[in-house]
Amino acid sequence: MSNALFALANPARFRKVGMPLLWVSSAASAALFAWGLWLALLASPADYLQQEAVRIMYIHVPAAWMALGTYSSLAFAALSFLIWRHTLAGLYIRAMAPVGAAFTAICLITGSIWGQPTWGTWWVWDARLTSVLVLFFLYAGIIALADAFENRERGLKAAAWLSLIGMVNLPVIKFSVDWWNTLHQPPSVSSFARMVEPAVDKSMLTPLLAMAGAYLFLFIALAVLRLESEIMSRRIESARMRRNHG
Amino acid sequence: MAVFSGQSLSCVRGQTIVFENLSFTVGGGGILALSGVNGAGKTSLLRLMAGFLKPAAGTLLWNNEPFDAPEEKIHWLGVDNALKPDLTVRENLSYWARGGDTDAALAKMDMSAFARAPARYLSAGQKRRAALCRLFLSPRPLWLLDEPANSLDAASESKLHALVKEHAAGGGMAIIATHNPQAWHPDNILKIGAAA
Amino acid sequence: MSLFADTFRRDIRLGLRRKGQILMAPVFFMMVSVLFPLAMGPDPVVLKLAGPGLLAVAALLAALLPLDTLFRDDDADGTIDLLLLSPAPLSLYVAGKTAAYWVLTSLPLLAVAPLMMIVLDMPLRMAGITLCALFPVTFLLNLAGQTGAALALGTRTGSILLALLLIPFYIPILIFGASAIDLARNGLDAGMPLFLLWALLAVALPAAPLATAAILKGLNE
Repeated sequence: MSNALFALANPARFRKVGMPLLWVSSAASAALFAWGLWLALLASPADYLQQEAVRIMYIHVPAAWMALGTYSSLAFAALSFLIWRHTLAGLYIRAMAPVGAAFTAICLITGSIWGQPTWGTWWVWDARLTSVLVLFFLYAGIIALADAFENRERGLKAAAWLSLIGMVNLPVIKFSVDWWNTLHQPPSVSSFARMVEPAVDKSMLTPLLAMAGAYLFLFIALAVLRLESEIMSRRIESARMRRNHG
Repeated sequence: MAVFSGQSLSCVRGQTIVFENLSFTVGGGGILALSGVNGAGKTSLLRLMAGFLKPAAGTLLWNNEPFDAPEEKIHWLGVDNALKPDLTVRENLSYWARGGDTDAALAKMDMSAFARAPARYLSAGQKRRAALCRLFLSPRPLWLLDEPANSLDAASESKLHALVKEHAAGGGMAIIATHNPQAWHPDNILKIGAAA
Repeated sequence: MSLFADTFRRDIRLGLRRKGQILMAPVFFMMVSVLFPLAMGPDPVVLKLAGPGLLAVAALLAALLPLDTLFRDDDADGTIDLLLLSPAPLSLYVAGKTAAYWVLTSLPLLAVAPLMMIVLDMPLRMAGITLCALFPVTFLLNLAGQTGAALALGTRTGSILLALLLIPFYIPILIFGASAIDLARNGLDAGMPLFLLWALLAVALPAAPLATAAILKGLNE
């Protein structure tokens, strides 16, 4: 049998593994969210400096981790799609770029809400916030490109290339934004780095890790679900085409 | 003399199967005509031979070895003429010459008189002839021609038939996608998508 | 190398035969530069502060504007197919095209840059350092741009899509370019951003055409 025909068959095997994985990770995510949110919102102490506002960190920081983690996974999928021609990897990029964008948006929005009581403003041109904003633009570009072609395969390929080039460029973007930030340091933000990266107390570490776990399982569940729906929509499209061909 | 062949080739675009299990053989001196209704996959098969598309299944062989380095063996004439309207015919041709004799190539298709005319002033048939001149810039054994006689008048068409015969007589081979296979006096006709 | 030279010569010739198109980029650059003072008021203090950034943003927009046509004709008329069957590497074609595009769109822009410095109330003694920054900036914008143009080839919403794709990649170029001019204007050492710009150029100059050629090859399949 040929490579491409094998690749078409591959999604069927994916389904066998995917469905149990979907249930397990959904359940794990729900349980960890319940435990983590309880710890984060009720059972952990308020911060000495930031008081209750610190609690949004438990939503914000894992979202930032997932925003970057999802992007790395896209780049890895892009590599295996372009080199080894795994159809599933191409579909993964299409399926998960919006999820990564959503994590990035959550990170930006919660950061902004957190900024209001702590810095007295919704947005500051802090290096981290700016980098995350650029990451959001990158996701937006990938989503737009994947959808811009008449020919779906071409869209997948273009999106894969863009993810890959974006990954190579990410350090350059990060460096430039950091450097720009030291050049135009606004006085009010200099304490930001100390807020997120202090020696985290153990009472804060447990809820943070619980929430991170909840996000991770949510990510896995969404990956399975969205890949499945990508496969389905391809199947529908090819069925339609076959009917049109008579 | 070289032999170019394909064995049980399949072509898949997206999730649609364009054609399946096609085989062909052309030897030096041979002309193969590809025929089939619109959408049967003539152009896809040609693009697959040129290496623009990867076959979903099957292999291309050159003297019974895997076909590689198509850029040394193939002259390609697609559906489009690849002419820049703002360049003259000679300028268009010399971009592809790489040391080949532009004037001799122009003479082959009787385009010498138009050498200095910008391509946008040419008629559709003259444009096709200008594109055909590229075949004579350098000797390459395998000609892949997609509807080469499109818009040509009767005189130019029979001239082209003669030139293809001449190429084959010199040991070359030609594979031609066409709606009128008999006109080329091919050694073989490959009918694609007979079921459709 | 002859594919590089041939493509360069062909594209310059094509560009010169459409004179209107050559003037578009510098005229657009000038118009954008003029729009900013009109929007922010003619206060010299404000213009002094904003000038370097405005120049960099205007250069960025001017580079973005005609980009979606870069490979469009060569793709539509089958030139790229023929190039894939040419013994010379496709990256030489891409490099020749980018070089010609730079000469046709960015060089006129550099030529009018001193004029815009006057309009934006920047001292002309800074022209040297401004050009020293704008040269790698425009070249980097074009190199990133040609990669984007190859990616978006064959889409229906060319220009807007390209802006969306390219802005993340343009950000470092914008930052270093504007900072170099800005530091120099304040009498500070602009060596760091200038060094970074030229270093980026040294990396992108071979890397971008190779990547673009691979994309053109891969997307055609």
